[in-house]
Amino acid sequence: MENNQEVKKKRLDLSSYGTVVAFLCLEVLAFVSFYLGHSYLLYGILSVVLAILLVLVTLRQINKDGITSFAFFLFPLFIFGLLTALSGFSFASLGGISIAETVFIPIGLTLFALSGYLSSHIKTFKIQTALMVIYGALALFVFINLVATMVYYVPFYTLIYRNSYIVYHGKPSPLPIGSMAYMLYGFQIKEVTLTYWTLFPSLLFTSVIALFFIKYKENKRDFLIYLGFSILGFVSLLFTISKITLITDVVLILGITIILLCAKLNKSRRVIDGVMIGLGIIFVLFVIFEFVIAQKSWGWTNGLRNTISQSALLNRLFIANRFSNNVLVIFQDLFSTFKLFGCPVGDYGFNYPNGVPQVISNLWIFDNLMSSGLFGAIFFIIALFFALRRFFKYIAKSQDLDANKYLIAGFVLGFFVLSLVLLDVYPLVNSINMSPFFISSPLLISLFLLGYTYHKSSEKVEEVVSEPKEEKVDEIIAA
Amino acid sequence: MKLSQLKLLIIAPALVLTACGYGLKEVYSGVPYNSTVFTENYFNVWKDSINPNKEGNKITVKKDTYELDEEKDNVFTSLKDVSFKNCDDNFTSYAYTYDKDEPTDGTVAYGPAVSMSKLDNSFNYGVSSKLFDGQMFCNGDYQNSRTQVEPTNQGSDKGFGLLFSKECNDATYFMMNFKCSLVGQDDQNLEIGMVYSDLTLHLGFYLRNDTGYTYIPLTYKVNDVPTNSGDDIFSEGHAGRWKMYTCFGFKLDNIDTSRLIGFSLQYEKTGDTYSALHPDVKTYHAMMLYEVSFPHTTWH
Repeated sequence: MENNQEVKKKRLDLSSYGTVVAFLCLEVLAFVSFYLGHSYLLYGILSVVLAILLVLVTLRQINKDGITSFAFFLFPLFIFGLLTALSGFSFASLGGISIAETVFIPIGLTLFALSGYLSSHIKTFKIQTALMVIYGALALFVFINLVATMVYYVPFYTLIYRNSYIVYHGKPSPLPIGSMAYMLYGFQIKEVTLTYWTLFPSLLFTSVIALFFIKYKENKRDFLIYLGFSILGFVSLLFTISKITLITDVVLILGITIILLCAKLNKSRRVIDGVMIGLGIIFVLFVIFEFVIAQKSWGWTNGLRNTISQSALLNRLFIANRFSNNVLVIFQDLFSTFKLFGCPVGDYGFNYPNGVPQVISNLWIFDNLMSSGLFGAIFFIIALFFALRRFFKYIAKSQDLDANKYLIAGFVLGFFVLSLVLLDVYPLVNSINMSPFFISSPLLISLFLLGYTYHKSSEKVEEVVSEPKEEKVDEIIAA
Repeated sequence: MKLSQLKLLIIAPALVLTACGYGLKEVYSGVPYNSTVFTENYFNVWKDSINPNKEGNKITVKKDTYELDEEKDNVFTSLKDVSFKNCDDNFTSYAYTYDKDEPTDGTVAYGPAVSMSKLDNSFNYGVSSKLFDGQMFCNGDYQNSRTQVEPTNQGSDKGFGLLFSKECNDATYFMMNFKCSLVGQDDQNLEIGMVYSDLTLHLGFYLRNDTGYTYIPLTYKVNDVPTNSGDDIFSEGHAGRWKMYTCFGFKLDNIDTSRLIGFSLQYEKTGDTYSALHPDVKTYHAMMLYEVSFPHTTWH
């Protein structure tokens, strides 16, 4: 009798479906990596399905301490998503008519991160396979984009036709040819800005990191696949090189070099850490300084602004450049127009109290202040802080292969850094549809990977969910 | 490295290098046909292979010139004509608004509904896309909304001839919307208000055949075309704005348009009410063409 009950109990154990859910996980990752333009609703729904299934198969194995610790990342992320969903900017940018649609923003963000966390509990979920799937789908997407762009244009058109225009739908193109490219956006090939287009081959090129850890003689297949991804990313970047993308290409190569140095030169780790902390401090000081000079209502800042504007170099650095103009306006409006909870509903683009039209700096870290408010932006930084803290712990202590650890580093850090410049909120050249940071698919992939590393960074990693051992069950039945 | 892997590495970049530059066939350094000099904006562009006036064209069959008959071919010269109603089966489902936007009452505006750009994306590229974008009226877009056609009276070989990238077999009627413009010597504004021009239109349809193109010339006289009509909706009242344009078209029942692939337009100015009163004043005439369409067609 006891044995029969045990058999029944084992049969009801959903953890035996771990492999199936792990496979579904890979499919979702491939789907999201392939990018479907403005499909945040679809991603949100997929994240719900995936998270439910993952909870079902890993429920018995989830460590209470672990999930409590994970909540430090998940909770602020959810609040960020919620404040974003309630913001007037989301209504305008996503064409939403009610919270029923925008509510999928926090759902998608949170549940993708949760899915990453839960998937790490499944033994049959292999991160090397997941990374191969992510980069594979991204490579297919980049290849389609490259072919589409080359069908319309020619290699190096960004330099040859830098100041030329085409006529489209009866109107001269709003951008010169050298600033446009073609992309599979949703289910159509569309004209997008070159900066937005460049984000994807840049992320693909981070796969070159794997080549420094996988030895050709030991694993020819993986080496050649990653080599192919890298070449595709490189060719895409080379054929579309321009003044702006050249800067991001340099940043990309420098970033990859730093990651490789961190990995290979453990002895110099302190020096690298020092450099990284130093860069971080410079960035924070820069942000604080920008915030101060933006406050026109503080009388004493007038003198500071005048001093800066009199120096050509300082003026270019802090005020009159591609990004600062709008960053200053966002800071200036932080406590007046956007308040603490972001752009008010119904006021986006018109009826601003101070007559300011739409303000988008195209730097997500500042645009979050406008789209999600001061609270939303801070909550996202908090979530990112906890995630990255555990991520660096994962890099240092995890048993995962170095190739996988540093590939994740390349993708996640690459996205958060490069998207600062490349993630154009208005990606479509001939449309006013927006694609803000918080619905971009690489963000969801990054959150999934951060969720994965969150659990894997624990010192005691337990991979308990595995395939049912049929032999044992058979033995019990026989008994 | 295996030979197959090496091949893949060579073939993939080679595929990319065969880029065809499809979108670079018409490239401009700024806004094209936007000169402040009136006579520099004439769109006199012909595809050599269909230019009947050019030696070496690929016209292998030339039909006799077909003179359109107002009744037999249901020729219409305004959106309000009864004959227009006979041409378009969907006549009652359109709203004849005077801008490109969709009407607010849920109906469909005629221009966007019959635009060729909606039928096939290939009509969206190049200067000629202004003719196919569904914008029937100026609406303050000036050079971005119109194509300026030169009359053959001012020199031979004027007008334009276009070849489409796809063929059509199911055209039922043809439509174009235009008005005219008249300026004096050295772009002098004649300050004459709205006058009227009489024109003889010379249209050409080009059908694909095994060796080249079959050329079908058509002709029709259109009188009292609004000339120098302003676009201010308050000048004649919004409801009367259609009077400032000539919407010309006809049914294609009596004309073979199977494998239609090209279209040309030339015109002669036979007279205008200003020149009739001031025969000694040197003027320059132009047809301001806003929209051309073979409505409700499919392109392969």
